[in-house]
This record gives sequence, structure tokens and C-alpha cells, in this order.
Amino acid sequence: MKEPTEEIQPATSEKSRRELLREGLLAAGLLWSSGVWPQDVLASPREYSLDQADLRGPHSLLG
Amino acid sequence: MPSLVCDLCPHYCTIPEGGAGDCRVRVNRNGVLLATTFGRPSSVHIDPIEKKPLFHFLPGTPILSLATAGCNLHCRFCQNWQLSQRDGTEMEQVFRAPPEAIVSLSQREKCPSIAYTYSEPIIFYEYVQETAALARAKQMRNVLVTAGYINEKPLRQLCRLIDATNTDLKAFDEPFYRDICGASLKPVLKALTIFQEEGVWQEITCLIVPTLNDDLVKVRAMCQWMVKELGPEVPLHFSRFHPMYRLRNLPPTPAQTLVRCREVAREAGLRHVYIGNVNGQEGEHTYCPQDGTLLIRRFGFAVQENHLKNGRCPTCNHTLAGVWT
Repeated sequence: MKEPTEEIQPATSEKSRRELLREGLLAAGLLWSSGVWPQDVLASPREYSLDQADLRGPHSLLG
Repeated sequence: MPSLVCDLCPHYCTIPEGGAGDCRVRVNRNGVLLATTFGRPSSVHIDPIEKKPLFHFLPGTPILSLATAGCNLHCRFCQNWQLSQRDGTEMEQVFRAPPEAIVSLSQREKCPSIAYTYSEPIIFYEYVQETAALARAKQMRNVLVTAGYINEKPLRQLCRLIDATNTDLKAFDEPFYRDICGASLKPVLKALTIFQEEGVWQEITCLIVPTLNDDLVKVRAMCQWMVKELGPEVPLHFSRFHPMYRLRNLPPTPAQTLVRCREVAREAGLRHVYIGNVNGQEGEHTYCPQDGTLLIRRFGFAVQENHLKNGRCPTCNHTLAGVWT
């Protein structure tokens, strides 16, 4: 059985590809910068006000 | 319009104009990366903090818990897949809840903490960040329940606002992360060490799935890594799997498997090991690691007895690791 420490190494080729891509995009000025999040992007037909949330009702979500 | 790369998580998604990242909710609109679920949670509840689970952080208190749609992992056993494996437009309900409304609600409901949980708070990073900053200004605590699949820089920034975390460590096995979760293990281990370095109180959960990650050799290796890299005081919760999502063919985890995992973890040196999603187990309670005194008795998510005195064992005065006030 392989030791876990051996198994957690990422594939070198994949890492290199991603890093190259990232470097290229950085050089081209295309990389994402945080700070933009308009609040009207998600338009759901099932949108409710927070007052309508069933805060103490049963629910099946874990966590 | 150019494609964009989202560098929030280790997927480094290249997102074309009009497209979305692997998480479904971070999109490229007209060359701008947008977090579409900002201020748009689909679940808002008040839970016992034990449900996160956090057993060594303000026990017995309620916590306002919220999540948006989406996730950057795709675990085949996901217990919350109706929320995590959808984008916001597919949800049955979406609440209009800007950060200030969440903080006000938490105050009104007398919750001392807010949890960013259920799906994956990393993919609604900006919403967490802004809400957490407002909450902290009101002397409230912030809790992150996460899979820890995030890059170092944004994580260290977020740690400044986070008081406690519970991280899902899915397995100590790279193929499991790749094949079952659509992610990788190494960044998660890095995140765990960052939480420790940044002084965030952390607990860890491992959902044990029969035949997939219940190999005790690997469980032991995971626990040994935790002791070595994080220290023996980090609580570990072994949680029961229920057939769900794309793994409905497997049975629920036998309680005895969780008991055995707990034994292995304690043998490896971890001092606080718990069993979750199974009621009535010895592994639900907190004991003094010094003299074995029962300190907190629980049943499910309820605290039945709490004998701690200012975070200390009433018998031997040992200070229990955690945040108690």
C-alpha cells in the first residue's frame, strides 16, 4: 500500500500547465481582480424577502 | 470579450464570456467576473452550534446559518446536493438578504454567531467577507463550515474575519478527492495548516462512507498527520454517511465503523474525537483529556450538561482547548 504522503502530490504536468496559463493571463492583464459583485445579477422568479425565511423550522441540511 | 481566470480556488477556472466557473455561480459577464449569489442565500436557519459541528466553540448557543447555491466540489455522496450542485436560478427559493440584513437578523434573533455553511462558503467569498466584517463590528463571531478548497491568499485574507471553522476533510487519499469529489487533497491540507497558523479555532469533520474511505490504515494516517501538523487538541468528528445523491447504492455507515475510527484516532494521539449523525454514543460527549471527567454531555445537537468552569475541568482544573465565552 502506498503511503498517503506519496499520494497527495499533484500531477506536475497539470500544475505547470495551470501556472503557465496563469502567468500568461497575468501578463496580458486578463486576470480576475476581486471587488465587483453587483447585487442585481441573480434574478430568480422565486425570490423572497428575508422576513419570509422559516428560521426555526425543520430542515434536512447538514452542517 | 476575453476569458477570465478565477483565482479564488485551486481549480483556476478559465471562464469564457457568458460562462460560469466549476462552482456554477462565479460568472463572466462582459469581461467582468461576478459572484452571482452575493446577497442571495437560498437557506437561512437558526441551528444549534453543535450542528456545524462545533463542540469546543460557544457550546449550547444558537447560530444563524446561511448558504447560497453552488459548490466548487462535486462529491458523489453530497448530503446537501440540492443546494450545492445547482446555481442560484435553479433554486426553489432565493432570499434577498444583503450583508447588513443578515447581521441585523442575527442580532434580532439573539444569535452570537453567524455560520457560512451548508454548501461551500468559499464560492460566495465576497458575501462572507462583507457580512463577516459587519458582524465583527457588532461584536459577533463568524464561523466557516467549508471543504477548505481555496487558494492561500484569499484564505489568509478571510481568516482575519473568521473566528472558527469546521473543515470537511473528505479522506486522506488523493484518488478519493479526484474521483469522488472532483478536487484534490493537497490544497485542503494546506488550508488546515493556514487556519492553525492564523489562530482560527478549528475542528475537522470526516464523513465516513462505507467501502470508499473507511480504511482504518488511511484513517490512522490522517490522524497522525493531524497530530503532527495541527496538534492533538484539534477536535475531529467522524460523521455517518446516509445514501444520497449519486451514492444511493451504498448503505449507511455502521455505527461500529465510526466507533472503530474513533478508537484509531485516539490511539494516534488526538484528544477530542467525536461521532456524529448517530445519537446515543459515548463519542457525543466531551471528556477531560487529563482525568477523564465528563465535561459536556450531549444528545444529538443538544447540550444536556455542561460542567466546564471558565473553560476548565471542575475536577482537575485542566484548561480545555476551545473558545468558551
